[in-house]
Amino acid sequence: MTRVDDLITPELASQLDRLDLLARLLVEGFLTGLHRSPYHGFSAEFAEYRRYQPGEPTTHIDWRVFARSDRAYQKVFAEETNLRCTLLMDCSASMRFCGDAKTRPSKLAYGRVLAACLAYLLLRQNDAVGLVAFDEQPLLRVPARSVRRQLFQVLQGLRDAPAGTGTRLGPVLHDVAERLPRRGLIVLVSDLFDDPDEVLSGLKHFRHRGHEVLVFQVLDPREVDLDYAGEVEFTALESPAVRLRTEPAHVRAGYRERLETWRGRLRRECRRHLVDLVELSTDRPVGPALGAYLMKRGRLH
Amino acid sequence: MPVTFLNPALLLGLVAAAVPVIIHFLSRRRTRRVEFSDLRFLMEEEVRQARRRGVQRWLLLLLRVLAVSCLALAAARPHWGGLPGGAGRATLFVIDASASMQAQQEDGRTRFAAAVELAGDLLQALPDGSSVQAILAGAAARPLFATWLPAGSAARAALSVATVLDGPGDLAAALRESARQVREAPVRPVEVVLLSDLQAGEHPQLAAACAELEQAGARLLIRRLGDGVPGGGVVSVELPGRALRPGETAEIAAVVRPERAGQSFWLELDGRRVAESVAPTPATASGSVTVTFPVTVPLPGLHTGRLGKDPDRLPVDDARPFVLVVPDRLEVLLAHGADRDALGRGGWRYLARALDPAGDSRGLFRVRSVVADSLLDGDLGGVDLLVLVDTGALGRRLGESLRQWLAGGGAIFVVDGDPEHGPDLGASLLPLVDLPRQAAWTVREDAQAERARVVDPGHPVLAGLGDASLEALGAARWWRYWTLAEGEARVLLAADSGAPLLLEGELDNGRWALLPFHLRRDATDLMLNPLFLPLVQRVAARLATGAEPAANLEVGHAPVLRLTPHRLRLRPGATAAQIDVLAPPDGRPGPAALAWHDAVPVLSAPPSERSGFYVFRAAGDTLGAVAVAVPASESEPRVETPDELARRLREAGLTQVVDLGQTSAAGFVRALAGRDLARWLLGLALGLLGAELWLGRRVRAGASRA
Repeated sequence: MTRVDDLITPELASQLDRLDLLARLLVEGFLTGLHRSPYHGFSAEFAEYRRYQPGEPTTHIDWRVFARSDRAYQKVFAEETNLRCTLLMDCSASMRFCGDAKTRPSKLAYGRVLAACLAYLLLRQNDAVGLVAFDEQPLLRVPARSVRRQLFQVLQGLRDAPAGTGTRLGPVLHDVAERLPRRGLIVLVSDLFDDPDEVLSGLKHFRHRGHEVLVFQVLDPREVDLDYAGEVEFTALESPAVRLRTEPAHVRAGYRERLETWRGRLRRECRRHLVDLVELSTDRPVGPALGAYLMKRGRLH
Repeated sequence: MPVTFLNPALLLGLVAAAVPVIIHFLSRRRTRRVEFSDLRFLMEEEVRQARRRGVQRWLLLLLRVLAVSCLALAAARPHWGGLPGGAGRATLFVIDASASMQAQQEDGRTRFAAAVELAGDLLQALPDGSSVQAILAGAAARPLFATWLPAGSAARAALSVATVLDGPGDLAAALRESARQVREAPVRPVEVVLLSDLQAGEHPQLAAACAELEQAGARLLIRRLGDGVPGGGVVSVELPGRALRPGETAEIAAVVRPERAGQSFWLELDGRRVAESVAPTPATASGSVTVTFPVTVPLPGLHTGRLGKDPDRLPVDDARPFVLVVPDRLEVLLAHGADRDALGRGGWRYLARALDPAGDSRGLFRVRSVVADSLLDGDLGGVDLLVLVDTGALGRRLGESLRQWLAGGGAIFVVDGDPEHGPDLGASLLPLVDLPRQAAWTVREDAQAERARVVDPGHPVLAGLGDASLEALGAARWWRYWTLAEGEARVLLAADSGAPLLLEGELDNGRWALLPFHLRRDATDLMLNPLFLPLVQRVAARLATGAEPAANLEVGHAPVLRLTPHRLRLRPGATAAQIDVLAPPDGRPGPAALAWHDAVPVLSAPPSERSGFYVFRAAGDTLGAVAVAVPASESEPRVETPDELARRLREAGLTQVVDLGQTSAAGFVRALAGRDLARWLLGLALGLLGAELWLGRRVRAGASRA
């Protein structure tokens, strides 16, 4: 049985401790944190003066300045607010795939560690973190909160999420998008093995609702390389009745080509809709991979 | 055409062809089972490649199976078009050694030399483990090797002793000997290879020989050599057929087959060319014509001669040997009835005077006359011709004795026209010469006298007399004679009524003639005819030569010399051990056999295989000579095609006959063993392996690119 402590190792936690997660967009929040609120409000840190434009509310006019200079200026505050992050964890059967159990974890285990890291990191910054585990439908929901105990809730949710079967990303994403009351950060951890149109439709739904969407596509190296020798009878994890006997050496090129086409389309569509797509391989340690992504996010914003 | 295998046991190697299949399916069984996250792309690609890869997989498997099969088949040494049988093949070569095989081919070799060389080539080309035997097929067939030999150079060297003969080819004898050798063959199957120019011939025993060979289980392969007609030649020599008198001009005739119109033929006697004659144009291109050579009869003795022409491609039939015997003197014993005044008596004197006109015995005939009643058995010693004139009844014992003497090679001239001898004629004389016992006394009035007509002007007695002489014979008249039934006798002269007036016939080895009338003026005036003397002398000379053929003894027959009195006599005291024979071609002396037939010594030698003169000697004296010539059939343009011979043999009961055609040695070996497919199969196997490597590499390259 997977324990929470097993998911976040001290080594992994120390690596994440050196990085900060900076949200690219300002979201609505009420907890002060490292994230800038998209709204310049009243109870936040002073940012600058701005000339008053006719028609604007007079609430934020600095009357002292108006008295001294007879010019109307408004105080602009950049309030720091908390991030509301929802982790979407794909627990479908395809995520149980592990190309080499001796050297690397399954995609599901890898994704759990990744989600736990994110939860730990976000909660450490007082952000609210929630969790939705799903396969063809939501299996488990942990509402987003920023309390300390929330980490335990999330990690327990990750641990206790039942093993799923098939994948229906589209309906699940739409469902989650409809249920989230406020904009925030959507982190999807999945292999995205589903109809790409439906996947992209779900992601676009998030974007439509103003969410920042971050997708971690976790794949096993063998899924990418199809590195098998001899004749292999493949059994679909999500549909055990579906079997295919083939020689991977002969279909490898075509498979890679098709896989790359699929991934390329995902990249293009995500980029087009401002969805961050991070492709992770289970043979890479979670820490460096996550760190590399946060570094990249830091440079961009 | 069937495919045969020299090493059929190695066909078991074809089992190895299953190895790729087994590997193929075993490798399929070692399929790993893997749970995979998503099969969508795999299935799409598999659907796209499944057909192509399935074809490639089965094609690779097919190439491997074929390559292994080709290797296994090549190891079994397959041959295409060959005859069934493995490495243990036995081949029996029947080499035609008849005279026609001496004909030269365009390459300068004789057919026989070509056949021997071809057989030698085949010997060495036969597969390892083969056994061979060879038969030299002349008039008789004999094996060349003491036993079956392994095929190879040793057997080829043993072939070199084979020599061609001058005799005919006896196909039946060759097949019988082949059947015997086939039964002794160490291995089966046995192929009998006939190397011959296929001169046609009659073989009465062919059916039995074919049945024998069929029972032995052999197959006959026919390989023809030569191209048929060897050219012209001398077919036969026709000697006068009667005793010749030294100094007389006799005609020696020959049946020849000229190569061209107007071809000249020559006649040699004792090594000297004494006559030449131009052959008339034959009716057909390959027809025979008769040429005659006028020859002055040499002195008494034994004369050897040859009759021939310029040699052609087959020289052995262009000079035909013959022996001309000119007797020194013929002893005639004339037995007659007692002289009396009765009708028909005393006519014997006309005969005696005709045979010895001078009465001094200096001519060809020395006549001694006795009364028939005193004729005893012992009187016939040394007699060449016995003339019985009006003897009447001979008595049973004397009649039997005379018949035995006649059958043993004697000669009897019967003249009897006594009407009183009617019963005796039928009781003793007619049975003596095997004539039907039918005799009717015929009497004609003067005005109704019978005339004689020549029935057979070509008979040796009448040949050469000329038309004028024969017309003169028509002046003779007959009034009284016995009308006899000729039976199987030849009629030389006949009356207008058809009654025979001069008959001739043979009894075993003896020859007889009969005049059914007596020599008196009241019966005939033949004695007054100018042809009477030569006619009587010719009849006597004819009878005294005996019935044995004087010439045209052909190779393949035993030379036999009957020491009849007119020939040189065996010296008293000579024994068989002292008799030998000088045989051609080199005159090497050999043993001769001596046998006595009816008190007549008969010498013989083994059946001849070479043409030429066989000279019999006894204690240094030459007893006689026999000319043995090449059979006329060897130079006649009667050549069968292999198809014709094969058809004839099949009709005779030999079912397995194969025409090999005009194949070379290599083709001949291919016909025996078939075309060696091993090299082709090896090449095909290499090609298949190359294709398999190429295809496999391409598949693997596609996989590695992936």
